[in-house]
Amino acid sequence: MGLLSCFRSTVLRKCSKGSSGMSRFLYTNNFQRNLISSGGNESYYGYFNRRSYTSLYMGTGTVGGITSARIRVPNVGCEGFMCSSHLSITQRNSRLIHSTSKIVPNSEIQNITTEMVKTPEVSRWMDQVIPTIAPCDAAEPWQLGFQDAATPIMQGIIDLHHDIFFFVIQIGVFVSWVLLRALWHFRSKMNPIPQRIVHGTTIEILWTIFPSVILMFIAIPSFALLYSMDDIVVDPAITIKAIGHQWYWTYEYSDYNNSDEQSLAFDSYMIPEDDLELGQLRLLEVDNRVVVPAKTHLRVIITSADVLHSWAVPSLGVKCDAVPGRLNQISTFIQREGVYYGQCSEICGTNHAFMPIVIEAVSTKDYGSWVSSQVN
Amino acid sequence: SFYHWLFAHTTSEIELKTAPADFRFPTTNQTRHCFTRYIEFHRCLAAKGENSGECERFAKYYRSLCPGEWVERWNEQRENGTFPGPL
Repeated sequence: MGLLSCFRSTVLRKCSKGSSGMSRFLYTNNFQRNLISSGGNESYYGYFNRRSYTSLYMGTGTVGGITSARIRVPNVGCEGFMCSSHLSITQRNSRLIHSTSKIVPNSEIQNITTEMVKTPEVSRWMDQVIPTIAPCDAAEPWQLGFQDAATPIMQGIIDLHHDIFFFVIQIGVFVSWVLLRALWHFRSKMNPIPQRIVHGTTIEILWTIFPSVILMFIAIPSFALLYSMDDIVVDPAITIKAIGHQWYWTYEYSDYNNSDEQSLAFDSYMIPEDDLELGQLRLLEVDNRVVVPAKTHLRVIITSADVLHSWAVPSLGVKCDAVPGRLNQISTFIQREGVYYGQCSEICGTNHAFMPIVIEAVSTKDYGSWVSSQVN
Repeated sequence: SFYHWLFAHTTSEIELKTAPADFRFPTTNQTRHCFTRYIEFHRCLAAKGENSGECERFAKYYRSLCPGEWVERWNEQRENGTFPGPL
């Protein structure tokens, strides 16, 4: 197991080990621009704006529609990303939610390049000297391993994968050895007349019992994890409804309604690549984030209004189909504050790749402030 | 910020409470759970009257579980008399 860990840490590079926030920013900045253009005139900072993505991808040489000028946040007197006005609107909203955070000037780099979890005061002072290692809560280019876990379920999934991978490597090496030995020792030059081996009772018994034992050792932790995901014994504190549309997500918080007409609901559209600001992730940012409290039991009810979608957030270890006419429920418990990214994981049409999911886990007090600002 | 401070002191408290888990619906599929909570609320209204405060608890339950479009459609069906459930 230690050897496999050494193998994993050298080959399957995780961004939480060797990647600092700056290099992630450099990764983000190196993507090609102007690949996607939106034809709408609305600003994505609007609250209930709707946008059509039917002409997202413009081919080379195609004369597309008239693309109007986009509304940009003015950067008066700002150079590079040391200025606080470079923060995007969504990150300013994040700062409004994080009411107790004290941001020092050098932390602007970290806030621009990554969505950091809040660090204690002493550690934040140290972060000005040592480059920060950011948790990997969004997909990195060419990433092979898992994103960092934020829930016990995802931690269990990662541990189960590592345990089973140990068996997989051993079995793969052994079977390859047997196969190569058979190919070598029974080749035609050495054996011009093939042998006629019909049956062997002992080896039949052996290669039936041993795989069964191995599968049992794999199945016991796998089933334990699978049945621990169905934790309906815990009453949740918050219910969120995620409704899939072509091609965006609608979220409803109905715990605070006093009538059927009142509703805390918003649409969550992807920010087009042309409107991305410094440090934002391509194909992953949305205009309205799902805000949830950390260290609280959540219930997410997932459905769809038109075709099949799938609500998947890798850091939380959740993936649930959105079926029209059916309410699927998942329970989750986010253990740390941060911003977690996901995407629709069921082919749902032309713009299936352009309906991301962003969940922002904040403290309970900040969540109360957010709900108060939304409901009133 | 001043805006946040002003807002935080003028708004009411937010209570973190939602519909509890129901052992009648232990699986991932919660469609019948939403439907049953809606029917329970309207049965409570029929039994205890519109002005009774005891049915508000059931109203909160179905509002937490049911999407807004479903509730809107069911309300319209109830007014038209075409609601399929046993009210």
